[in-house]
Amino acid sequence: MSETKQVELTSKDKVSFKVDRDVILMSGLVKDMLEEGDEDETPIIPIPNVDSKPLQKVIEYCQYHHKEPAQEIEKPLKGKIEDVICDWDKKFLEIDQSLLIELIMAANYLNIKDLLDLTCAKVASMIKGKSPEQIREMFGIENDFTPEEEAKIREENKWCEEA
Amino acid sequence: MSLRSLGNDDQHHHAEEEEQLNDDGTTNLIVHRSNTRHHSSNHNNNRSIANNNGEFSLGNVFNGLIELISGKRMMTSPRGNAFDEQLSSDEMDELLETNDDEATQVSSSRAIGVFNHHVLYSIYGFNVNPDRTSEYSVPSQWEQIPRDVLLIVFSFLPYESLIMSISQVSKEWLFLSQQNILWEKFFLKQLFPSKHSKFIFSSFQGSKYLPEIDKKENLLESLQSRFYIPLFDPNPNNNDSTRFEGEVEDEKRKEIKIRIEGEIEEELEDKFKQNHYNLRNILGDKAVSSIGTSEINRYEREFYTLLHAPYICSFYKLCFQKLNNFVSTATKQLETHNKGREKLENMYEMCHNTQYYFTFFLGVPISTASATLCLILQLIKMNFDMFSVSMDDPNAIDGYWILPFAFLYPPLFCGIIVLFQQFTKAYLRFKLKSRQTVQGVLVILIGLIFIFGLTGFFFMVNLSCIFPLSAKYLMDDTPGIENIKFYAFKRIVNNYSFIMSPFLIAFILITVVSWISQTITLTAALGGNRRQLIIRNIINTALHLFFCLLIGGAFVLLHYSQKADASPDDEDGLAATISYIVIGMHVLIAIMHVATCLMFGFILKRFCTMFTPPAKRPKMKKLGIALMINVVFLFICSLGLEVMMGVNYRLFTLPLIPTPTILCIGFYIVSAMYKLWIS
Repeated sequence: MSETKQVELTSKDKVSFKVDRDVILMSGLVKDMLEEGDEDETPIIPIPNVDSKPLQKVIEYCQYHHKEPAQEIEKPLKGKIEDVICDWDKKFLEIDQSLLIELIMAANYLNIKDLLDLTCAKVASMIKGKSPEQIREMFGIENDFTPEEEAKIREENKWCEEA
Repeated sequence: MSLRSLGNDDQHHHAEEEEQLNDDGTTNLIVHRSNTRHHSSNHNNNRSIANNNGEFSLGNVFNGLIELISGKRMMTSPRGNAFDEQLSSDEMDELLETNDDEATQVSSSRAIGVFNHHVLYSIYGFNVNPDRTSEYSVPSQWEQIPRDVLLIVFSFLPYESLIMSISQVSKEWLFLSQQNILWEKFFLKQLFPSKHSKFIFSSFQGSKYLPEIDKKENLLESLQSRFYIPLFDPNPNNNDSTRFEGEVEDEKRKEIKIRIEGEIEEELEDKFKQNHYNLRNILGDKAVSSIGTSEINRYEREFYTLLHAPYICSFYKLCFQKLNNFVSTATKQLETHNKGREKLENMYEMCHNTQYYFTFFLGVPISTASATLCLILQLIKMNFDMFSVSMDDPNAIDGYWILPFAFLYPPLFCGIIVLFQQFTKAYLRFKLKSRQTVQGVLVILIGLIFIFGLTGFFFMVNLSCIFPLSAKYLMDDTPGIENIKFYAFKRIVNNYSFIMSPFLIAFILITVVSWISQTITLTAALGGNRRQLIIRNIINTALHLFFCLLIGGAFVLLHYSQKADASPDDEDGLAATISYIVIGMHVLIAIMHVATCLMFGFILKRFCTMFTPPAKRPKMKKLGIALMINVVFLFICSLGLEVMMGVNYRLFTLPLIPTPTILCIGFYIVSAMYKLWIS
């Protein structure tokens, strides 16, 4: 029986993670890079844009969903995100906001569509049902509308509110 | 080896590094591109960010090189083919030219834009306009999230959230919330469930320019125009090509139609063939055998075309039905919204007019009767000994003296009703988001102060005369018992004037502010050269200034009356005290007259335009203004009379008695004549 091939991922803060090649192939980025290389060696892949903490979470995600393929999340979300994802994903998403952002960035950089969808859906569920003011507060966004523009947009969108 | 830099400086250096290595002949380093379209852009994007932060640069590339040479394989960046597939050679050359010229800093955002436009669509269909997105900045931790990822986040949100929340957060989010990708599914699923509808949208994928939506446009209109114009031009005669940044040409539209129809035909023909649905089977071998093969093929094509036509027509019919349903639903929603507004406007109009009807049918007669009775009573009081002031009899000065004031309550009552209507009007203005809301609130404030002030004044004067103060409440320096009622009366008036002072000051301030605002409006109007506005504002300004001066004068006079504070020791002193008090009181009454005259003036002006057809309104406004000036003049005369009455009222009361009636009748005659004239 042949030994499982491994890949070494190096994070931005120079922490190395050894992970099964089949597992990390979920990442489009890594897959592309591996296709170029010599299959006999254990390649070292630098992930210069991702810190060790989110990278560890990403590996964790890949390891689980390599065996249990993630279910596609419906768009748009009809209810809470918790209703459409598995228990493992629910637990996986119990993270603070800064890590969630790092995870989104990592999923985006590593091109892991399922993870990107999951994290984006989580953010969407955080946004859902909130007023523009609450969203601004949550994202730290400055309101760059003039009062007139704001009133006009609100007025124009009233048809939806009254529908 | 060819190298195509992706557009940022880092990669440019990267390219230089590669050339050096080639010259040495030691190794080749390829700047890889991702075959995953999504990744390419983001990788590029992230690189750009990393460069700005100074955290990721050539260092990583050198590390990669060292490790590569030393035997361990270290990948530097992804490789792919999608870029080559998607990017046209012209655009590529353009990008390369841009990169070669270091002075030109278009670079990364442009490259990202091209990637977004050409590469990302296959996964999420991103079409972020880099020029637009670069205008914005999100100063928070979330800023790191690329705009295309934000689009993925938004794609999980229900459509109502996109409209009600996302589009109202910031300009950037408004722009993102209107991206095609977010709405495509909605239209495909809910409006065009047919499988062929995908062609309508696929037309965008090959399009160089996407129809850009003006942010000022109504979202509903944006959606309609965005999704329907390419195939179904609702206004084919519209030559306004500047409306969209990327104009969708007629040829393009035709091409889409041909593609749709071709697809339908192909599908149908496959079905015909599967079911052996051809001329030979339908007509039979005998009928067909007499016709040549080429003719059979021609007939068959025509036959198929004949069969395709209804199917294609039904497809278009379905599309138009869906479009119609959508538009009618949206129109209904808009109508419901507009109905609500219309209802409010009707209520406002009703409220606006009710105030004039009320004045016309009730306010004017009541005020006339009240003023006449007031004058009659004053005449009686002054000319009959039993009501006159007798210094010898302390009981002679009783409630009768002040009875005339009681008759001023009905007009005040009318004023309160008008004030209530003003409240309603101001509320409706607020609901209608009218700019006149502030003006309405100001009017209410003035009215409140005026009515409460005067009502309180009359009430207290009446109270002091009908229920004189008991001797035990008087001070030690109280004069003889014969003057006790006068003394109480005077003290109360003086105290009241003291209480009224803040009100009067507030009143003056509000009037001054109002006057200043009118003057500012006048200045603005002068700048804008709007003649009518100027005339209207000149009148308003003059009235406000006059009103302001009058109130100020009244305030001074009222306090001047307090000079009579010294306890009168003899009859002359008492007479002087009374005259001071009476002057102050009459000035207050005069203020009320002025306010009434202003109200009458505005009512007249309003009457002149209320029943007038729009065409005649300008003329009627002039007539109204003329009438208003007349009324103001009449009441100013009455003001003078009032002041004189305060000094020596015996002479002027009698001729004044018919004045209110004459004014009232005159008012009705003018109104009747006016109504007759306009009819």
